Amino acid sequence: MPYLFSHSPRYFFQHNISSTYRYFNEATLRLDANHWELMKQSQPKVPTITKYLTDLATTHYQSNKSALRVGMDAYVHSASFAKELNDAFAAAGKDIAEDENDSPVVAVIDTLDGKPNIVDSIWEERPPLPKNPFRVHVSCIQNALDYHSSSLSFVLIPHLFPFIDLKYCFFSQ
Amino acid sequence: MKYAGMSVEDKVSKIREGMTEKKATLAVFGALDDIAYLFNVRCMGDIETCPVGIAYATVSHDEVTLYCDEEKVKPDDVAAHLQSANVVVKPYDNVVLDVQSHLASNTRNKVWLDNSRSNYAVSRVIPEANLVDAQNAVTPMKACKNTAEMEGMRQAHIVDGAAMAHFMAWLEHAIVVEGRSVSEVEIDLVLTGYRAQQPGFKEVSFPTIAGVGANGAIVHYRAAEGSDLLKYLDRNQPILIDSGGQYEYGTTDVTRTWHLGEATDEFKEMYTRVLKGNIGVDTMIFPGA
Repeated sequence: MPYLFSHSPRYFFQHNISSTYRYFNEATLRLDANHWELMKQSQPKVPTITKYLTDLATTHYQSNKSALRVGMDAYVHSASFAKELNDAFAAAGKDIAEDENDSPVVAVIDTLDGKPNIVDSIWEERPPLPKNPFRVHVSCIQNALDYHSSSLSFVLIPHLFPFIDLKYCFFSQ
Repeated sequence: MKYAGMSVEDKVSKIREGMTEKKATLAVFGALDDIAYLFNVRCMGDIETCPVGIAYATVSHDEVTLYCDEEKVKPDDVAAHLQSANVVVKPYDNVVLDVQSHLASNTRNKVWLDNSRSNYAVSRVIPEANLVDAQNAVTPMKACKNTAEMEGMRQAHIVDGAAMAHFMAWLEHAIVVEGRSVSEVEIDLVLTGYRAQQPGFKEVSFPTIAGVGANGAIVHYRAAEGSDLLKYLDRNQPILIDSGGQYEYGTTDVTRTWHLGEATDEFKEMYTRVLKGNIGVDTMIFPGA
């Protein structure tokens, strides 16, 4: 569920949140409507994050002649989303280019290296990254086969399956 | 057939065949289910109710590397299992640097990464000319279940069915015989308790959805003590229960709707329509099959 924080020169921290349909109700209940505008993705006339950012970038470039810097924690966004954004920014640059061989850069993704992401910095009592041990995924079936193999060495494996008694799965581990 | 129907070595060989076809020198995996599948390992507690552990993995033509915290591979059998498959374990945070050094070691090296199953932190260090962005080799392997995996699914449903039968008997007794009402939270506790008695049970496969009456219409509803939404089941209302278990050998996810009294005609009409839809889907032949 992507969240989008943005601010423009006119509105300091104009919050927007985008979410998928199953969270619309939950989000409506939890968000303070005075501060947040819920962007119901896939609803009519609601732009996608990519479209929203690209339009914002184009407007920003046209009024400031500089690229919009889009902050993004590279560890919590998918590579495909970043590619989609970069492709859309490039296309928007081409659309407004005066010289077709020299498109302006309307926006750049800034991965804010070395800086904490803005959610992490206000996340109190954040638990550490879990370190639970792996376990070997030995299938129950294999245990049953191991059990049988000492006494039924001539039975073909596929033929064995219908006769596996569940208790072997439970006690042989 | 040593583990889960296919050994780590066999899975690595298949990945390397794919790499040769794609002219890739390194395959990178960032999706946790891909990693659990590739190494035939499972985990509990890292991701709520999901049997996967936090890690990255890479496969080159001469090395297989698992990037994770050393605590995760401490159990003797896990360490031995990985060692026997020649898996090298490195610190979790090293993966991006290692991808960079792989690319720096030879400008013709190519990294195979499924952009839709990776974060941007890995993909951004790979120049476009050195990136093969395509479905990774594990995805199609996971899609086609082998005999051991299919048998594991069946066994999981057998024991899960036993737990559900115990639960249904308890619920019917409480509502119909004892004539009491039962909270959604109690339903979750009792049902999970019956699952926990089953051999090989690890944890629930997602937070139980037990919705009485109108709560049955809330997507991914989760009952909680003290919540304004909490309802009690009696003979006058239906209940929808969507629940499941993680077992050593498989995962279940079962949804049922019950009415333990006299349902209204409107309810019967809707229930029948949903049932017809389910039967229709169930009897459909998959296109191309």
